[in-house]
Amino acid sequence: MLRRVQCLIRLHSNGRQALQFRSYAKDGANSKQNPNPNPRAQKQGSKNLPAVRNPFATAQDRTKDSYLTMVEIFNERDVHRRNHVEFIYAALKNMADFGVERDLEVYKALINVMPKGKFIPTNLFQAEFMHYPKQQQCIIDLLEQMEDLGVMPDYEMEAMLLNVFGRQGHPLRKYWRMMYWMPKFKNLSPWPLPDPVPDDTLEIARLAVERMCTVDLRSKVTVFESKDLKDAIDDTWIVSGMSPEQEKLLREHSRQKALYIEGPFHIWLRNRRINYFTLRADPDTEFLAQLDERQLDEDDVSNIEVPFFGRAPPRRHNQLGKLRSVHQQDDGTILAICATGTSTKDSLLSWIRLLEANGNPSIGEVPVLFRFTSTVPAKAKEIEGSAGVPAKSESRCSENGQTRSE
Amino acid sequence: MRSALFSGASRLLRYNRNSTLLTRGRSSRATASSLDSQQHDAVASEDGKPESVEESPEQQQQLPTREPLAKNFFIGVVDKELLAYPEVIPRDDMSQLENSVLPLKNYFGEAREPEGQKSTAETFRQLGLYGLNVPKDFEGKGYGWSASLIASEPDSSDTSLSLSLQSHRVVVDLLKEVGSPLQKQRYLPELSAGRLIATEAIYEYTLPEEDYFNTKAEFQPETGKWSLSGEKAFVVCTPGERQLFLVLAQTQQPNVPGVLGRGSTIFLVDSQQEGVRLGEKHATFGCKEADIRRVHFDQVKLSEDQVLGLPHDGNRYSEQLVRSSRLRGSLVGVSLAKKLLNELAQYSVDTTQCGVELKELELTRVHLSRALCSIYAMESMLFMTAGLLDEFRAQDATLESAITKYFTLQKLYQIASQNLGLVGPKSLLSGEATEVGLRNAAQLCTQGESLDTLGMFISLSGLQHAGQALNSGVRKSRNPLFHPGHIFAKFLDTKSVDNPKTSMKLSEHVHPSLDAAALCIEHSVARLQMAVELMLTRHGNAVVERQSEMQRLAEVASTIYAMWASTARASRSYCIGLPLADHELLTATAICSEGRDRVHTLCTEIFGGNFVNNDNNLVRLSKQLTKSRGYFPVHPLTFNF
Repeated sequence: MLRRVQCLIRLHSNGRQALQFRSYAKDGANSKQNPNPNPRAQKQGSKNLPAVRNPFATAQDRTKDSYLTMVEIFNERDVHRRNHVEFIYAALKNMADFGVERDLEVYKALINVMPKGKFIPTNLFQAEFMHYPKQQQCIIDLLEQMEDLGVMPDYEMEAMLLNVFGRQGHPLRKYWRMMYWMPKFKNLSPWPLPDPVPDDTLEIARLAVERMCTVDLRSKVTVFESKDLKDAIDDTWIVSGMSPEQEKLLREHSRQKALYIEGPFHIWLRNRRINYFTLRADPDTEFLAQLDERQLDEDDVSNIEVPFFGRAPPRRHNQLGKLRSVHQQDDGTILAICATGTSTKDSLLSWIRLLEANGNPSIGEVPVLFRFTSTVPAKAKEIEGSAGVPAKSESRCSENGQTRSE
Repeated sequence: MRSALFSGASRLLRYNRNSTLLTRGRSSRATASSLDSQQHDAVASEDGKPESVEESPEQQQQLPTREPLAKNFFIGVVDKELLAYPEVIPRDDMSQLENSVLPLKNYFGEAREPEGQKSTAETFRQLGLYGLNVPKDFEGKGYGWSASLIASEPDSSDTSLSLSLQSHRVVVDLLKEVGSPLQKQRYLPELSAGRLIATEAIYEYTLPEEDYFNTKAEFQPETGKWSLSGEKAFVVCTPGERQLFLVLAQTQQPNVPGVLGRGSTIFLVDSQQEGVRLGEKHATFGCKEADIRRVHFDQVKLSEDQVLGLPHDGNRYSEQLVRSSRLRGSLVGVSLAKKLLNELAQYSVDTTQCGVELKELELTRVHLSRALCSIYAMESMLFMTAGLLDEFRAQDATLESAITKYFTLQKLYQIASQNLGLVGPKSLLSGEATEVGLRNAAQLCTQGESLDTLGMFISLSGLQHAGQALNSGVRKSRNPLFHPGHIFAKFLDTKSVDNPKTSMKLSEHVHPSLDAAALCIEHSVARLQMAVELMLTRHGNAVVERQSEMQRLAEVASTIYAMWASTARASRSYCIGLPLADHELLTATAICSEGRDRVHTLCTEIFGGNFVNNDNNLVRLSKQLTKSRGYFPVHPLTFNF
């Protein structure tokens, strides 16, 4: 009974702390959105923030070294390390600016700011009623940020937390829970990304197309250069994914029926968005109807086929020798996917021409139509003319919006 | 009751009364009258056999068709008459055969000095090895299945040479069965004399993704000729001789577009025709003396009488083709296995290690005996199948021949690889008998159909047969709520895999010493039937996709046929008092008791289903494996943090 009450209390206190923190974080976010950080305005806007000079906001050289130097300066400024909680919060908030938000060493340096031994509870009541709640909550928030960003702590951090908060400290419990779950989640993604994720858009686009192509293990991802075509306007790259199965479907596609280039669709890799397009045909309803399992009498075992001479073993679904491939969906048959450097109509046209030149001659005989979900510029010049920035897949959405508004 | 126990004797009495059968001198065989008592005699000889009109005299001599033996195991039906081992070669023919085989035995028995390819073929011609199974009308020896197998035993002791001879005989078999009179007239005398050496050219280096074969033939109506192009691989050739290739090519039926019109056609191609070219020799793992090559066909013009059977209908004749090649291929395997066993026996008698004679070690003894049992079973199956083909008119022995090859190759490879353990590292030195044996065994396992394909074929044929017979029952079991009576009856049924209830009374058809063995067969057949019914009920016609279970089924079926054939043979040997027949009894008993346990294990696995027998785990693993394109676990010492 007593235990449950304690738990409830702890829960409430935690909640309150979190709530307080959240409002704090919101203030931080506000200040971050402000393009010109004005310390005075910031001070006025958030009354509950103590008046502390934030060295991170004013730093000139935003590197890991300078970050660590600032932490060191704070450590050595005086023995009391006054306002260290506020310092840690400020440091956490500005990590992204310094590009150190995924760096374990930096988090350890921040924990190291805490004094050792002072916060260790000495009796049961202290332990259960969150001894030094503000300090504990601060480190819990630090750990939370690590967890959110997927930074895995190590055993040295456990030793540090043990020295600061003792065995009963809440940060340590949080640490243990993290160390239970985070290793399990770390490699759970079926499409692991390289660490660190490359910065080059072409590399990312290739990763994205490769990821989508995993539905068919035989898919081949090719990077074309549009300058290989003589009448291409845009000079850009095209990452195209297509499997032999899709090539076969394309070969067998009726010359009378149109193909559609659809898009742009989005795929996210970590925090980067890639636009991609599909080459799609309308579903072959006749074929799909043939495969309808409801028409098959599964109970009828009276005509089982026996193959001769290394013929494929019979399957229930291909009694006509036909199998539905993964590309033949109910709403359409996906024949290829691509991401281009400019995402323009011209680059997509180049894609079709390059596909035609690279083993798919039949595509030249089929009408290919554009069908876009949002406005796609005709060529790269248009983007440059309107926005004045080189086209990047990331910034394209807004540009589309601009071209539309124009 | 007592007299029924030994049916062989009672049957002999019956033969005494039946004078027409006695004149043929066949003392132990299933009788025509016994067929009437069979409940499944619907398939009579007149049933849809158009060629019965022009039956050859030897075909007329044959007894009416019986129900297929091994296929019926799948529905739990046994043909007890067939427990009498077929004696198809009459007594005086047998002695004649033995006399004519003698020179062959001598020739292959003594060490031959290596001679050129040319002279080997010449010697074979003189020995008449090319005409063993050619009918007498076409200048051949006119041996049936059993006789030609016996006559080709001596040459099969040399695995490499035998490959080309067997291939020749397979083509002759097919020509005999489905060739037109004109084709027979044209080719058989040549083949018989060895002026033309036939070989199959069926398999290809890479299989096409969609079609049957890369080798394609087209009919050109304007010239009335076929044009054949493509390339075949793994063809056993005899360079320097005129050859006849039996080529399976893909053809497209006129007026039928697409997949439906796709068929295959069997062509007879003379090596001297324009466009036929022998390719490079394959550097094979075993059978190195055999000349296994690629053969190229470049726009070879073929007249219509070079089509064997009907065009576009090659698949129909494939059955006869594979039946023959399986049987003849098994003979090579049996001979190789015998040779390996003899050598190992000699080795273990001669060798003493640390004062212990190798032959006294239990490990050696068990190993040798296991090999003996396997070979005994192989040989029994081989001649039982050949006997069935000889004795009954148009008997369906497709499954039996497949099982024979499957069992033979599997056990042959086991014997060859287990020798390694006994002989030690010396066994793999190049040139050692064990090494050559292992290489040849491995080569035989890949020659023609692979073991996996054979296994699939066995179980699919069985399931096909069972599916036709059990269809209504399966439909009821799969829709229990519509057929409560059927399900209720099943509930009340007390038989189970562990405790099958049978009333076949097989022991009445074998020597009383084999009672136990007969009971093993009974139980195994009952278990197989239960497993088949369960599989059909559980999966419906999707059963064809459960290949892992089908491999089990294939092993069960082949074990049962091995048990059956060995028991029948041992019973016959003991009854007529052949030398060492008591040990044959022991062999058969050993085969049966081991077979029963194996069948029991496999059927229990099938009954357990894929969640119990680990199949599900394996299938799941394979998904990730293909995704990762290979071995996916990281190093055991990898850190995660």
